[in-house]
Amino acid sequence: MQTKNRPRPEKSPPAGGWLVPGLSVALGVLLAVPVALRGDLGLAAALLAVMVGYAVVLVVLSRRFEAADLLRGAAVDERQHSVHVRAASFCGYAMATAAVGGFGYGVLTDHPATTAFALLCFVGGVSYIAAMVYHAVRG
Amino acid sequence: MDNDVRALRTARGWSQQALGERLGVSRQTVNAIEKGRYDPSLPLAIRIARLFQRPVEEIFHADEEPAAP
Repeated sequence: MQTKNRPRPEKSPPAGGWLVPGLSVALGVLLAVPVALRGDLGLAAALLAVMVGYAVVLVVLSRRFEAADLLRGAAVDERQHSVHVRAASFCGYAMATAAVGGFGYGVLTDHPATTAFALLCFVGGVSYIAAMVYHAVRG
Repeated sequence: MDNDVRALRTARGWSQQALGERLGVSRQTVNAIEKGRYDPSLPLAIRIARLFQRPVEEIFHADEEPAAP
């Protein structure tokens, strides 16, 4: 068969470190302990399992998939930095949409969380304007 | 942007990983440049040109501008 002689794709060692997987496990413990102390052991175990599972998936898949390596914290060159920046930008738009949507919903329904959403909108708007001015001046 | 990076690399018998190590970038970035999915920055384009001892414009071909009417 022709595919038999096809060279195997090269694999590069993962460049991502242990900070993100470690933080993920630490966050899992941080979430699980107070929940367990409140007596909800099932939810505590589930929270810990999700966060530890995420860390394990990142570590295992980072050898094969660049996206997992990037999520693990790799950014060895300009393209990978650019991927991080674009992903962060998309995340920012999603968060802004959720904050504005939450604020609008809160105003319409007189929900008690309206102030929290208003604060998120304020922080997002001010940080966006400040970053825009800084980067425009800096070039 | 079209480029001759793959041809220049294979002519030297280098793998994408080997070229990436020479340039200080990942194998995936070399692959993205070769496939035209990523246009390198000017400093990286100059590093590539110096490595292959060619002028930048001989390796990277900007899209032709449409002819004036």
